[in-house]
Amino acid sequence: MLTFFKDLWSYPFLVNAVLAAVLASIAAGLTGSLVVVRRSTYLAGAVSHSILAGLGLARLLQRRFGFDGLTPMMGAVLVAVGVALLAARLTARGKHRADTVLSAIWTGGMALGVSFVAATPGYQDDLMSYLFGSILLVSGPDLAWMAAMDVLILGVMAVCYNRFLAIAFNEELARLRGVNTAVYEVVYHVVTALTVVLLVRVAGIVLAIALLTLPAAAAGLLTRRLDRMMAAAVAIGVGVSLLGLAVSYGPGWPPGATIVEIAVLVYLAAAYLAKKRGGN
Amino acid sequence: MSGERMATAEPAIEVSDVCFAYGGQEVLHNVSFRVGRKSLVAVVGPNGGGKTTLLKLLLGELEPRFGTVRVLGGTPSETRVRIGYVPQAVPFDPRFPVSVSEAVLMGRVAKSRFGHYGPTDHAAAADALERVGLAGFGRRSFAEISGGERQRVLIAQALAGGSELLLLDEPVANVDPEHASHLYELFKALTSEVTVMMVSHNLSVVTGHATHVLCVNRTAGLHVIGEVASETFTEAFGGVLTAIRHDADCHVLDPSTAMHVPHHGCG
Repeated sequence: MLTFFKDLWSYPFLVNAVLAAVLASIAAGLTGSLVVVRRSTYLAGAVSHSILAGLGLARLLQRRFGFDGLTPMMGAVLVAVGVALLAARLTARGKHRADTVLSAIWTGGMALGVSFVAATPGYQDDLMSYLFGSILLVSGPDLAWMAAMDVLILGVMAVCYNRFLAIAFNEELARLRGVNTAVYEVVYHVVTALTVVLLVRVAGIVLAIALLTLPAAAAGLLTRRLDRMMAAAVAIGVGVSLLGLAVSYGPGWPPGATIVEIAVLVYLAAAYLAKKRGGN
Repeated sequence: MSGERMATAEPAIEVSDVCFAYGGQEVLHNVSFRVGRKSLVAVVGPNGGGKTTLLKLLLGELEPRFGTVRVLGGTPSETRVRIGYVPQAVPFDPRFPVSVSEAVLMGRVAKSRFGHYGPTDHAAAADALERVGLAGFGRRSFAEISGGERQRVLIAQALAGGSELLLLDEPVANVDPEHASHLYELFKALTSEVTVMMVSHNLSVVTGHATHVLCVNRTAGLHVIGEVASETFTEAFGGVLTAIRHDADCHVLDPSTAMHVPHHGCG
């Protein structure tokens, strides 16, 4: 841990990692709180795994067919948003079984990704970093993109907070009280998809769900209002990811995995605290 | 028709010759009734008799196959924001992070333009909480209050939004008997300002408080409750039987029978 603080001043990539952790935690805390209270963490799971298809397809088109402007991240954003909207449409008002639809998207997306990677010439080193996270490789432009995403998510939350809360509380009641729930559902799903893409950049596909849900779940155990839950989730996320970075750096552990392990411990501690305080 | 409407105050609900079917199965047949403003109507009838379907028609969630539904002087979709629907029970996550006042403010969610509620919204919410007897509950968590109190909060939510008609689906289904009778008293008190229509199973309590009973069993008939007669019968029969006056010349002594027989020539 001491090595981390000593090196922080001499290596810019560590500063980038710290900034990435903070930026990711802001998005994760805000969106994750909504995802957790709406019990839709499986949506986030399906989106994160299907991102591999977007990454793989973009890379395939780039390398094999010369679409130079199409970066893997653009592919990820397009597929994530598309998949989230598709899932929202298919599962709206119990049209199809939500868990079944999400499993199909989850596995289908991953499988397509693997096929696209196999069809692409060359060694796919940075695609592997998307799978398992690459917080130590985050670049300056990545940070700018993440900051822009945070501003967007903060803006959407500020404008839609009341409506998001009412829909999460009871969709039918919100609709009957005059909220155009269809529009807000689209906004919610797009924001969730974008947040997942951002988290994938930091934590990797496999661990993005943990960053999205664990700090929010811990915050939900400690607070009784959504706005406070969001604030607490951001704080817990920042704390957990910085601690994970610092702890993993010296011994050379994988930072993403370390962050998630600490997040799980914090969640368990919050559950213990909530129980001790007599909450249910 | 319009002359009639000019003569009397616009009724809260006006259902004319409505038929509704799910696929080939007709649920409501030739239903017509009018509910005047500030009435307290109890909707009774067997399970599967069409009570919930009728509520959904009044909310504009379903469209009648034939006939017309007018609520508060317009079609349900036009007047929906003035109708306060209160569901039987909100499928509720005990950890859902919302306070009582936030839940009440949701009644005004479509009125607030941006993320946060203004002073007018907060004043309306506080007023609504007071009207349902929950003044001072605002800061408590919605999760930690009782089932009866949650029903009151949802009613306050509807009132805060400016509802002129409350549609309550089994409002006391999850409430113990003592709180249930308090709720019925609340509904009665609310009719000084708004119209209340509630679906209920408990006939003896309903008939003690409601001004009208709507019997729904494929068809529907609206009956004025004979208050004096009701008390008389309660004494005479130990509260089991209640008089429902169908028409001047038609008395039905057992309301459970009244629901099962067609209303030939009655109402």
